Order: sequence, then C-alpha cells, then structure tokens
Amino acid sequence: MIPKKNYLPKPLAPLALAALLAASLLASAGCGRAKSGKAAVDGVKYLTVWQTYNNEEHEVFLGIVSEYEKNNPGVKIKVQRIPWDQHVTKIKVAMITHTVPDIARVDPAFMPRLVRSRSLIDLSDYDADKIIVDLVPAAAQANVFPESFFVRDSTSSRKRIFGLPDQTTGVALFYNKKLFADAGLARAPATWEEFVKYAKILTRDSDGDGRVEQFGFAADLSLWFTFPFFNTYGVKFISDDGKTCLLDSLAAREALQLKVDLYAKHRAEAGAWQAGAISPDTGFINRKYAMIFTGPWNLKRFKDAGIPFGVSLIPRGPAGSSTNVGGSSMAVFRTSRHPDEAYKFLKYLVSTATQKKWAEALSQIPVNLKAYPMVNVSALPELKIFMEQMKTAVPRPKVLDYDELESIMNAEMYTALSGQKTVERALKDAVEEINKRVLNVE
Amino acid sequence: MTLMTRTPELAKKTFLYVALAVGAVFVLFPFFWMILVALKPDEQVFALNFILQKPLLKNFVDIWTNPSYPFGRFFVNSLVVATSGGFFTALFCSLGGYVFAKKDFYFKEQIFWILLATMMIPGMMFLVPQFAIVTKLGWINTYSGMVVPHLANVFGIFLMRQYMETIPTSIIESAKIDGAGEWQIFWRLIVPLSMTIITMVFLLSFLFHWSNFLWHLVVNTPESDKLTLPIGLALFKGQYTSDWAKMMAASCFSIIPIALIFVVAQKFFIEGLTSGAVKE
Amino acid sequence: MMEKLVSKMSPKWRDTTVALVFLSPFLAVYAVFLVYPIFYSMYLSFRTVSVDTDMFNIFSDMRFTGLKNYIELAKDYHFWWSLTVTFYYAILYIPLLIFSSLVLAVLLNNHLKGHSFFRSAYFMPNVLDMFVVGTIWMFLYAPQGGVISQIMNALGIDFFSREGILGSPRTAMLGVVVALVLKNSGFGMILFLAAIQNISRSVYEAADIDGASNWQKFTKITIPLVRPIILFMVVTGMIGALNSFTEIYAMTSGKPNVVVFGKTMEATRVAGYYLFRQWDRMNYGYAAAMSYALLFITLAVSYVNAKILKSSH
Repeated sequence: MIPKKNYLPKPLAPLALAALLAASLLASAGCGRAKSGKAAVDGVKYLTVWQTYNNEEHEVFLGIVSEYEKNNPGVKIKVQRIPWDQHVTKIKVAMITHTVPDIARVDPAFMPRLVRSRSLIDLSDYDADKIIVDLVPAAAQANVFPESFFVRDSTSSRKRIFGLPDQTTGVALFYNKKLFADAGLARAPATWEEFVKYAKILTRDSDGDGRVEQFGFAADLSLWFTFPFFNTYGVKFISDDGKTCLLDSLAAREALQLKVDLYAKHRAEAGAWQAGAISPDTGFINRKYAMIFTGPWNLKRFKDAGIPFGVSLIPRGPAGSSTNVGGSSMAVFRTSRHPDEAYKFLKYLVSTATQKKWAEALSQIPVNLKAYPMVNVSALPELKIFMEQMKTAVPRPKVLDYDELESIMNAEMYTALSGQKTVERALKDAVEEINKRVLNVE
Repeated sequence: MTLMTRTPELAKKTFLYVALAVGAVFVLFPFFWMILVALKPDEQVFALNFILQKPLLKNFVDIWTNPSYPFGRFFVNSLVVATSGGFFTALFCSLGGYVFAKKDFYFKEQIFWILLATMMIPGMMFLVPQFAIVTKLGWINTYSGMVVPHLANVFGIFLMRQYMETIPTSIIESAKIDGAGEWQIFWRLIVPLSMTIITMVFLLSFLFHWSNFLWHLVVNTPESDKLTLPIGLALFKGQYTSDWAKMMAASCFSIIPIALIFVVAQKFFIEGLTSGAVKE
Repeated sequence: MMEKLVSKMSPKWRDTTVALVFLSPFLAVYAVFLVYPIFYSMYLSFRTVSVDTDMFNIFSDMRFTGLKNYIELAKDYHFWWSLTVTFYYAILYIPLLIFSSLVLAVLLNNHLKGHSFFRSAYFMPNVLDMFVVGTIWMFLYAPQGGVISQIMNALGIDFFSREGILGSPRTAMLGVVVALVLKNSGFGMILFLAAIQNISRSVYEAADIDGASNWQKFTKITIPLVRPIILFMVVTGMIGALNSFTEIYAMTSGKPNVVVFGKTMEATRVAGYYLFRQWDRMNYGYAAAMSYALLFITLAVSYVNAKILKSSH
C-alpha cells in the first residue's frame, strides 16, 4: 500500500493545480460580467430588456422586438424573461450588483421606491409628458411623481415621469355559460345581491355523495384580487396626506364581509384562497368553478381549453361596478449606457400601431387611448367588456412599500376568511400594522 | 420441542419483515410517487392509478429541452458546482488536516480550537455579509460565487486530522531520510494512504454543494446562466404552480443521480456522515 | 532555494512555515468568508437601509443608526414569535426523530437476511436535496387531489381535503416535521445501530439469566447505553432547528396565518425564514442584528447542552 520510494520532485504541482482551477473559476466569473455590459464595438448599440410576460405575451413581444430591430439597424435588443413573482427581488439584487438591464418591466407598485432612491432615468427630460396624455390614465399615473416626492426638502409639485405603462389590465367576471344554463340562469349577475344568489344556486353536489363538486365562485386570497370588492364599495385606502390608513371604514368592513360570507356563510366559494387548493384558473378550466375574477391574459388559455365562458362587468356595489388596475411599467435604469435608444424603444412600445397589434394578438386592453378605435373589437367581444370595465377601475394606493402593505392585508384577510378573526378586528389590526410598518417608515 | 421453538421464531421473523417493509414503504414512498407522477400525463397526476404517458419519457424530454427553464443546463451547472466544491474542499482539507495531524507548529491547538468554534455559529449568520462580499467581488451569477464561500469546511479538516493521525510517523520519517521534500511526502505518501477519507470528504462536500439551496438562491438572479437544479425547480414552481408532472420530472433530475451515487458509494456516505457523531 | 532556507530553521519554525503554506488556501477562504463576515455583520447591524438609500451602492450608503436595529428587534413580536415557532419545530422534530431512528435501529439489529438492503433504503433519503424532497411532499399533501388527502377521504376523514395539512395552522408544522423525520431518521438509525451493536452480547445474556423480559432489556440496558447518541441528536436537532430554512421555503413559505394573542402571525415562519424575509426586503442592517441574536441563542443552547453532557458522563 505504501508507494515505492521514488519521490519525483514536483514542487509546485499542488499549488499550481489549485491556482489553475481557481483561475478558471474566476475567469468564468469574469466573462459572465463582460457579457452583460457588452460595449458597442461595431457601432451597434445593445439594449437589454427584462420582461415578465407569460408564454403567449412573450411570443408577441419577441415579434415586436424583431420588427423594431429591422427598422432600427443600429440597435440590437436582448430580451431576458424572468418570472413575475420574483422580479422585484431580483431587480433589487441586480441593482446592488450593477447587473441591471437598460430597461425592465416592473410592477408599478415598485415604482415609488425606485423613484425615491433615484434609480431611474427621468423620462420627462425627453418628450414623455406629450406621450403620456394619450395613455390610459389609471395606468399612466402610476409613473408620475411630483418633485417633492424624491427631492429632499423640495416642495415643488412639478410632475416628473419615470416610466411608461406597457400593459394595463384589470379583472372582470368570468362565468361558465354551460354551468349557468344547467342551473337555469340566463345571464351574468349584475349586482352583488344577484351574485350571491347565483353563486349559491351554482354550488352543487352533483353526484349526491354529500361532498360539493361544483362551486359557484372561487376567489384568490391576495389584496389585488380583493380590490374589486373594496372598489365597488368605494373604499378609500390611504388618507390624502399619505400618513394614515383608512381601511377600518364601514365600507371596507362591508366589502370584506361579503367576500368572507361567500365562503363561510353561503359556502358558495370553494376555498380556492387556501394554500395548495385548486386555483381559480385551474378550477375554471376543470369546470369545478362556475365564476371567477380574472383578467384578459386568460382569454386565450380558456378558449384553447374549449370552455364556454362569458365575460361580464364586476357586479355593482354601492359605488357601482369597478375593478383593480394591474399591468406594468417599463422603466429605464440610470446605469443604462444608451438611455436615448431605450426611451425610443419605450415610445415604440406604447405607439398606436404596436398597441393595436398587441391588443388584437392577445385580446388585451391597449394602453394607448388613440389605439382604442383602431382595435377590431368585433372579433373580440370580451375585450370590449374589459375596455368598458377599465373606465371605472381604481388604481392601487401609491406607497413606498406596497409589497409590505399587500402582505399585511393578505395575512389579515386570511385570518378573517379562515374564521380566526372577525372582519372588523382583521381590518383594525391591518390599519395598525400598515400605519406602523408602511406609512411611517424612514 | 423444535416445532414449538420454531413457530414463535417464524412469527417473530415474519413480524420483523413486515415491520421493516412498512418502514421502507413510508421512507421511500415519496420517491416512488415522484417517479410515477413524472411518467404520467398531465390530466392524470392526481388520479390514483398507473396510467402512464405515451411516449413514456415525454415529461423528461420536455423538461430537458424547455427553452425558458433549461433543466439540461441546470443539471450541468449543478454538476460543475458540486464537483468543484467537492474537489477544492477535499484538497484544502487534506492539506490542512495533514499539518494538524503531523506537524508541530506554533499555536496549533489554539488555531484548531478556533476553527472548531466556528462550527458552532449558525450558517444563517453568514447570509447577509457573505452576500455583501460576493456582490463586491462581482461574483453574482458565477460558479465562484456559489462555490468559494463554502470551501472552508472545518468538519472536513477535523475528519482528515482524525484519520491522518493514524498514519505511522515512522513512514514519514523514513521518506524524509530518503530525501523526499514536504510536497512529495504529502502527494506521494499521505494522499494515497488517505484516499478513503479524501473520497469521503469529497462526497460529503459534493452533496453539500449539490443541495446548498439558500445560498444558490441568494447569489443567482433568475436570468443567470449558472442556475442549479433546485433553483431552477424553484423558479419553475413559481411560474407553473399546477404543472405537477413536469415538476416531478424535474425533481427526478436532482434526486436520481444522487441516489445512484449513494448506491455505489454508500459506505463512504454512511461512515462519513456518522463519523463525527461516533467519535464524540 | 526555499527548501534551503527552510532547512536552516529550528524544527518547530520549519513546521510552522510548512503548516502556513499548506493551510494557506483553507485559511484564505476561512478568513474572507467566515471570520470577516462575523465582524462585518456587526458593522452592518448598526446601520439601516432607508428609503433614500442608493440601491446601486446599498452597502456603502446605509445610514448609521446605532442600536436602533437591536431595540427594534427586542420590540418585534414577529421575531419573538419566529423563535417560538423554531422552538416548537424542535420540540416536535427531535422526539419524533429519536423515536423513529431507534425503532428502525432495533428492527435492523436482528440481522435478518436483506438487512443491509433495508439499512441502505432507510438511509438514502438523507443524502437527497431538501428543497426537492420538500416539493414532493407538498404535492403529496395537496388538499384536493393529493395522495394523502385522497386516501384519508376514502377512509372517511375529510379534514385533509378541506384545509390541507399544510394549510391548517394546527397541522402545518407537523406536516413539515413528518416529512423531515422520514427523510432524516436513517441517520440516527445508523448511530443507534452502531451503539447497540457495541453493547456486549454478554450483558444481554446475563439479563436473560436474570429472567428479564425484552422490554426490560430494552429500557434497562439499551436505552442507558445509547444515551450519548440521544443527547447528540438533541444538540444537532436544536442547531438544525435554528438553521432551518429550505424545508419551510419548499413546503409552506412560513404560512398559514394564525392569530396569537390577537396578533396575526405565520404558523411555520421559523427564525431562519424570518431572517431570509428581511434579506429579501433589503433590511440588511436588521437582518444582521437578527443574526447576532441567533448566534447568542445558539451559543447559549450549546453551552447548556455541553453542561448536560458533562454531568451525564
């Protein structure tokens, strides 16, 4: 077992080996960095875009990009796709490590923080103020900030624009026409009273084994999907000075009570808000859920699955029909080497021609109001409903840490839905937490 | 008489086998189910049956060639990270373990004691500062960022020292008399004699780096081309919450290679993982 | 040349030089990634990321806030709750793990044919990736359609399909722990097996002569002799609980919510997961202060354990 006594002199072998391997690891690190900051050696300007679109949107977006590259030979666009539910964390890390792209598609809820920390390029230095007047106001306003918001000690209310909305969405009521017909219902409910009545009728134990197979309604847990309840009751979230949360109002209590009752009292909601439960989308496709709230991004998927569905306005509450505002903004980071080209591309994205194409290919709501009359809605009857619904949509509260606000609300709503707290208690506690952890932080 | 002793003996044996089998079913069922579901068509994943996908490996092929979540690439990355992590840990620890076992140097015991003391510190403690260092070094989304911070494995040094202390010093002395230098003694004598423990430390570190989830999550951004299997799976899970058949196929890519390595080298794993405990 | 220089030294200096060279790669990594972070963490724990902090230079642009993070931490009931959850995790996990490891070891100790197959089978899940195993269990536990809820439904228990094991605050932690115990008991089994096999046969034979029953032999001979292993598993189990993260991330993300003394908490958010959440929200100063708190708790636990170990020897 002991080797023969011919100890060949290999003095530096181990260190050399270690150094070599270490060097190769470092080299791989180095080229990783070099790639992201590719310089314009050949006169071509490279732009990197991070987007978070779903599969269908991704395809359409790539088409738009390649067309843009054809018309702008000096610019090459590298598209990176990242998952929506992690993009904020990942953009934060990328900023710390200076690996942000030129352009990113971000959740508008993240814009206040980005603006406050001066991370973005001020697009009002270009002609963004002229562009923005043509865009859907609820979506555009998420990108507009007064100077006093991000300049210390400034009281100027001059508006500055830090992003352009590339997409605007909101939810509406989707219902399964077949299940409605089976239950003898001819049309979608128009008010919350009708909605509750229909949901109860549509909840049934079809095979008589004592267990419900089909539910009238399925709800997501999150605040975003609960806005339709709050907004139809005209709930105001934050006081005008931005210092106090107003969610313990009577209207808020009634709105949340309605959602809770659908599950706990009427037993017409499937409990889809629970972790690991069959999600509303999936259950709607499997014909388990008769009504859900969702957005235009699911139109194609439901059609492909052959579901006989209809789309209708969110039921009317005391404040009429209303919905949430989702969608996203495209922003240019201050580290971009080619901000001019980046802005030009953003302008192209919101242009009437691009928006018409986007809306028709994906049956989505165009962000450019001037594109509305150009979109051929006759082939897309559902889209018309969404365009109608967006007129009464209410934007989300603009706070520095929307994620925290949402996670506080989600937790409190969960305790109300699962019966651990009364609605009144849950909202009171939410107000206390939001005041402390969201509205009064430095 | 023989019959009377044999019957309870047989009953006891049967009972033991049944108990052992039940235990095995409990322990291995998740993995059996993972493989089964990975072979099923999408609409059958929740059904308690054995209806399989046609062609059988479709989910695996889909996962391996998925353009947005290239699990083939994730697999290669995991392999690179785990292999280099295992290799360098084994190298550094054998060099260190050797001097702690066979050299008499100043502050030896104090240094060793300090090293052992760091083992008490919870790994969570290092999350933020190590992240800060890695960002300063520009090591986000690199193999180095994933591997280097976890190469100083104190437990590995401990194992190496324990083992190398059993090598007779006389062999080293006689090699010295023959004119062998320090490097030769280490590479030509110590390393071949300690191959068992070196393999063990390599395998344990390989395993550690293969499943070093939190750290890989922290030092990679999703567009990284260095994502490892579990992180790839986590991203995939975030995007396709209900695509269980694909998710289980992706799980197989992480589980099956390690299970195979375990079957081949189980002696090393079992002894390596338990040696720390038994020594105490 | 270097060899010549080295040969002129006294033997101890010679060894020290060699030791330094041999240890240098290890010590370099150790210093940069283990020693420096301990001090850097301390530095960060006195600073805070504010909403005005430049996110492109975040670590250098954090504001000095003195002891603020530590004071906030002491007042943060979410932090105290996460410690309680960690403790609850340990209380569930450690006894279950010891029990199932011991049962497996006793079963295997009979040297039946195929005993090495079972030994490998029980041990194997130990080496597998925690995140992936957690993901598989999440699927097994799924409230509607998961295997376990379907089997339970067939048995007439519909609790599992209504809320789901991981969806109910009462059972979520137990669900996580059961998955972990099944993954990890092979490890304890090997330890127990080694210890039991070390017990001399003559001890048992002497007990037989005294007419001891199997149960008496087990409680009077086996248990006392494997006590060191049990203590070892308690110590590593506690450290493991303080470090736990991946299993929670994979299976529950700290959910579901539960109301404790009127406050909304998260039923499975252990300290490690709460720390990760602070990192995720870029509260680096706060996270650093929390790491220090966890360090002191770990040291205290280790100290107490060491005392107990000493007194039992």
